[in-house]
Amino acid sequence: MKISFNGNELEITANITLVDFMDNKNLVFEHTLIELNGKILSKEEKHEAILSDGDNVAAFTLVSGG
Amino acid sequence: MAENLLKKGLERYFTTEQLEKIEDVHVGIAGAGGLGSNCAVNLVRSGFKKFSIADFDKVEPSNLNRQFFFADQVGLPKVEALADNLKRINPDIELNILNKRLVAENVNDFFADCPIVVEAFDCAKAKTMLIEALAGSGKLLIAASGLAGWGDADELVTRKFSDNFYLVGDSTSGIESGLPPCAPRVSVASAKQANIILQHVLEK
Repeated sequence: MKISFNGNELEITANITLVDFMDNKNLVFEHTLIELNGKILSKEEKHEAILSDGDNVAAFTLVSGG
Repeated sequence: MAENLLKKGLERYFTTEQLEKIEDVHVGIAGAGGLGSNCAVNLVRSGFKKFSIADFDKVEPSNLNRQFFFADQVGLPKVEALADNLKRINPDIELNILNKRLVAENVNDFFADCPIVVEAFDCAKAKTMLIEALAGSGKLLIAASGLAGWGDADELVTRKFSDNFYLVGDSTSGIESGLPPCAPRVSVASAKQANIILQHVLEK
């Protein structure tokens, strides 16, 4: 199935969990915000999400400093 | 009650209606370090009066390069030192301060009365925790990521996401990369956070 990831079309395994997808992309779960179809996910939603064909996923890894 | 000189000065720049809008909003600030202390100063100077501010830390010498504290405040809890400093700008502000670490379990309670929250943490993990804990709350949330070092400050951009969520910074300049947090870029980021709030309140 196809999803959009950070603006690029990507072929991925059907029904992959978001957790596995993030792992494959080396995205650190605790430091990365996920916007799925225009909505920033809560931690629980990140844990539970399963990607579907046509999903629009954007990942934003935050860095420290303040 | 003594005349409020800040308010007297603000009346030169804002209409009564504008000042009422600003004074009415309760702003939450998560963290009273480089981002939080400077953002709070910008907001108090802009006329904001109601705040909930949380931080578990004490003022250290390594904070004085960028945070709104003074040398004689080293060792004090940041929220208490910041409260004193903000009251010197406007003695009539209403502060709800918490000298404790904000975690996923207490964030929503602490900011229950705040339609606007500033993410002003240092650590990326805490930033992510706060944003995710408030996701879907409907609050205006202004976070910052990527502001260390001394590179081009025009790279500290503001990105708007869904759900009233803004992210300020260049997204890459973290202290993980060995860059020090310095006053100019931290001030730019915190001032941008405050400016988003001022614009939101005056234009809504």
